[in-house]
Amino acid sequence: MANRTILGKNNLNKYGLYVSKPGINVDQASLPEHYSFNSDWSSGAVIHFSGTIAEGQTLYFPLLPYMPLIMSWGIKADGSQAGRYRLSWGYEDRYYVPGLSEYESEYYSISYEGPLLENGYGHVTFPSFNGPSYAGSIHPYAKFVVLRTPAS
Amino acid sequence: MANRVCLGNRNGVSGLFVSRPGYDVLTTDDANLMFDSRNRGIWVHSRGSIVFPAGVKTRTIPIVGLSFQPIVEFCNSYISDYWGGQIVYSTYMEAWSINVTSSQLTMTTTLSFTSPVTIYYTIYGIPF
Repeated sequence: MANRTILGKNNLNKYGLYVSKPGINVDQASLPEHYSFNSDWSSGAVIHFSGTIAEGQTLYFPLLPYMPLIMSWGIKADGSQAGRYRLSWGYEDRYYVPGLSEYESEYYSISYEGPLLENGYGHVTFPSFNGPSYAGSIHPYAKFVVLRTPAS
Repeated sequence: MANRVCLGNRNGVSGLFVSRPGYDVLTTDDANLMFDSRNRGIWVHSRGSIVFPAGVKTRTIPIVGLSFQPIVEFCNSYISDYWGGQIVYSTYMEAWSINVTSSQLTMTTTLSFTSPVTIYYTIYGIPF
């Protein structure tokens, strides 16, 4: 069975916590894809807050000192999953305005306004649908995770 | 150089903690921990590919070893021509439907393919 964990000095003479993927000997790991965890990475994927949000709803969570990476997936009325809303970076009809902490699409927008609040909580808002009628009826819910990972 | 890894007592709480580069694991805010054994993280349950033969609009695969409904990401070569290999979403949300339970993943499309299309999927363990 492969050695999978190093806490200390690794084969590349670096100190940290290194965990290889199953079947890969951590003593011989050298490529990013060899690791399931590597403390040399710039950040991890610790879940700060997660939940299911309905159209028009706002959920609050403890404030983070930076703009977090937020991932969200559309959920249909029957509970099945639609696609992912890609947040925290601009793409096509979505955009991110630094400082305004807002992400929008033609059809959806989810905003994070933590730095603007003073009560110690950030929030995620899934506003009422503002696009063509079919999408709002198809994806009335969204599941989301706020990661303890700076978005930029 | 900052202390980066703490296995044991950190501010009165025992666990495994790893801070982000540049932050001292013993003194930094919890927000700067890249691993925190007290909190859940996103992990990959499985990944693979599903082939949609020409004319086929629905495929189902089993999911083993989960007790909750996971999250699924998917992309394909057909979409990659247009979206640069990115995950299917946005305009294509309405063209693809995923019905995922703790034990199976069913993917359905309204698109009509004239040749086989391979969908690549990743199943994430995120218990909401």
